[in-house]
Order: sequence, then C-alpha cells, then structure tokens
Amino acid sequence: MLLEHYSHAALARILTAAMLLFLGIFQIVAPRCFWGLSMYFKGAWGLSIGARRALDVSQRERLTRVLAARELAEGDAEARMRYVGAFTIMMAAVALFPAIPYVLPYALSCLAMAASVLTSYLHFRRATARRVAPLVRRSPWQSLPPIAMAATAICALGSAAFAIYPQFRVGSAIVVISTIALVAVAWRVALAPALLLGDDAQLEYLVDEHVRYCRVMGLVAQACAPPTVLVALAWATLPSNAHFFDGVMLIVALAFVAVMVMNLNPMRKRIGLA
Amino acid sequence: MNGSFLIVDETADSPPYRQIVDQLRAAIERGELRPQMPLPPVRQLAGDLGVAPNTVARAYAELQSEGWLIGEGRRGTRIAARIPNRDRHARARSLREAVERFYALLQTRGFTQAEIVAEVMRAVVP
Repeated sequence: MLLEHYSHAALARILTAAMLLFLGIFQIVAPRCFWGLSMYFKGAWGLSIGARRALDVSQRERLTRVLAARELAEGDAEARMRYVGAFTIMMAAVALFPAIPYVLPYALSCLAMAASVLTSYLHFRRATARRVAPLVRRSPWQSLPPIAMAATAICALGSAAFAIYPQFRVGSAIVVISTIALVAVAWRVALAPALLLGDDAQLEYLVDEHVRYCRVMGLVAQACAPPTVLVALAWATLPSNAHFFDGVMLIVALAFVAVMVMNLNPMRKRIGLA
Repeated sequence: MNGSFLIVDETADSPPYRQIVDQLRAAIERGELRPQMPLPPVRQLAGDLGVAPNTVARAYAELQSEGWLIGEGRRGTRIAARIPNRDRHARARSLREAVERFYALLQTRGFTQAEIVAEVMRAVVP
C-alpha cells in the first residue's frame, strides 16, 4: 500500500493537515455550526427535537427572539468564524512542513477558535449603553466544573510525560502550553459578566448561563484534544514494553472521554419559563 | 430563576450609583429580594453592569448605613433580616421624589402634562 512508505511521524503530519483542511473548509462553508447560538438549544431545549421537555409555541418564539437579539449584539460572528476557517486552512499547509512540529498548527487553530469566542463577548459588552445584572451570586465553577478541570490537567500531564523521549519533547511542550492557554480563555469566559439586554431579562439570563456553559466546555474539549492526539500518536510509536505509557494512554483517553461526555450533555437545568 | 435584575442606563439622568441604590431599595420594599438573601459580590455586579467596583461598593455602603443591607465581610452582603422602619413622612417624600424624577424625565422627552397623566391613568387602571 502507498501509506506503507511513510513513517509514523509523516503519517501523523498528513493526517493533521487533512483534518485541519477539512475543519477550515467546514468553518468557512458552515460557520454557524461552530458559532450559531441556536445549536446550543436543540433537543433538550425543545427547538427541534424536544426529547426532554418541549417548549410551547409562545416560549419558542420568546427563545428565538432572545437568541436573535443576542446574535446581533455579538456582532458579525459568522465573518469571524470564516477568518478562523481561512487561518485553519493556512495551518493545514503549515502542518506539512517537516521542520515544524505538527501539533503546533493544530494548537494555533484551536487558539484562533477560542479567540473568536472571546471576541463575541467583548463585542456584546460594547453593544449597548444599558446594562442588566441578575441579583444572584455566580461562581465560575458553575460553567467550568472541577471535574472538567481535573480531566484537562490529566490530559496535559499525560502529554508532558512523553517529554522524556527527545523526539516528543517539543511537541509535548507546545501541547501543554496550548492547553494552558485554552483553559485560561475558558476560565476568562466562565468569569465573564452576564450579558443581558433587558428586553426579556429572565430568559436572557437562562440563555446566557447555558451559552456560557456550552462555550466553556467547548473550549475545555479543545484544550484536551491536542494532548490526547499527541499521546495517542506518540504511544503508537513506543515499543511494546513501555507499560507505564500504556497506563498513561488509558488514563488520558478516559479523561478525554469524560470531557466529551460532559460536552455532549450540556443541558444541566430544566427550563423554568414563566 | 425568579430573581430580580438591576438595570443601569448610562444615558439616564441619575448617576449609576443612584440607579443601583433606588432599584435595590425598591426591590426590597416590593418583597422581590427576601430577607437574608445574599447579594452578588461587588466585583461581579460591577462587571455585569459595566460600572466601576467603587460605584457598586458605594451603593452597598449607603444601603448598609440605612439598614437595608448587612455586610458580612468576606461572606459578602445580604438583605437585612428586617427592613428599616421608615416613617410615613419618609415614605411619602421618597414617593414624591420618584414621581418628580419620572415626570421631569418625561417632560425632557417632550411629553405634555396631559399626555403623561393620561398614560399613567391608563397604566394604573387598564
């Protein structure tokens, strides 16, 4: 087969470039799949599936209105996501250069996505002269559960363990730095002020909390992905007697699965719409 | 969530600090904020409202000195267990001031006395 001529590292590089190319094209063609707010409200919120609790027509209209107003206040996020897509395609090309560790372009594209989320929040804060605040105490741990932080730390430490091998040293350093940077952005979003316009404050607050949770967990998943990929690719090249790293691989994989499960099940609260 | 919300409008005549004090006091009087209920920390509220932390701290301090709120140091600020016994004259003065502010605001927007009275009557007696 053609692929047999390539080394593990070259295959990983080609795979990373192909994945980034696909991701970049997808971000340009369908930016709302990465950014659109309504995608956070499917299923459990009853917009399309209504598996757990369907909204009635008037509640659905309220929710649609609130989401439309918020999208407007967040600025032209579609354009921002297209820029991120173009950047991701550039990174796909960069990933093919043998001199550059292939995890670097992957980590940079994750950071670009994170920056676009942060920009949405900054844009919203400047969008209105009227500010509305809920009179309840919030904690950043509501959006960023400690278990997700622990899982991210496990992923980062797992990839750092591979630094004992010289061939993985640069890659694992890049991955750990990108993980820390992405978690820092996630923490910043978790701490961000509540963004309400005040037209339907109660629903806006529910939407804000839910969007915040989904975005923070999305960033945490992005933070966990590069170390998990690095650990999986590096582990595959190790000799079969490296039992310690079998354990590392298993623990990192479990941590990543835990984060993905938390990411796929973001509906923590039932809707209490009056 | 069934809680209350504070609104600060930068374009309003009264300063943000006064808007916070008035709205918190009104929410306590209406019973929307129950006794002993914890309030958000100064930094959180300031961030949400887009004002300086000093603005919120000053509003909290004024309401504490009047007995509406209780400061508990690092544990934060709560609504007082008993709201202050404001005398009849103070209540009347507070209402009069609020109405005067409201009336003056509408006048600056070009509404006539007749229009304002008619709209208030329509709102009060639907």
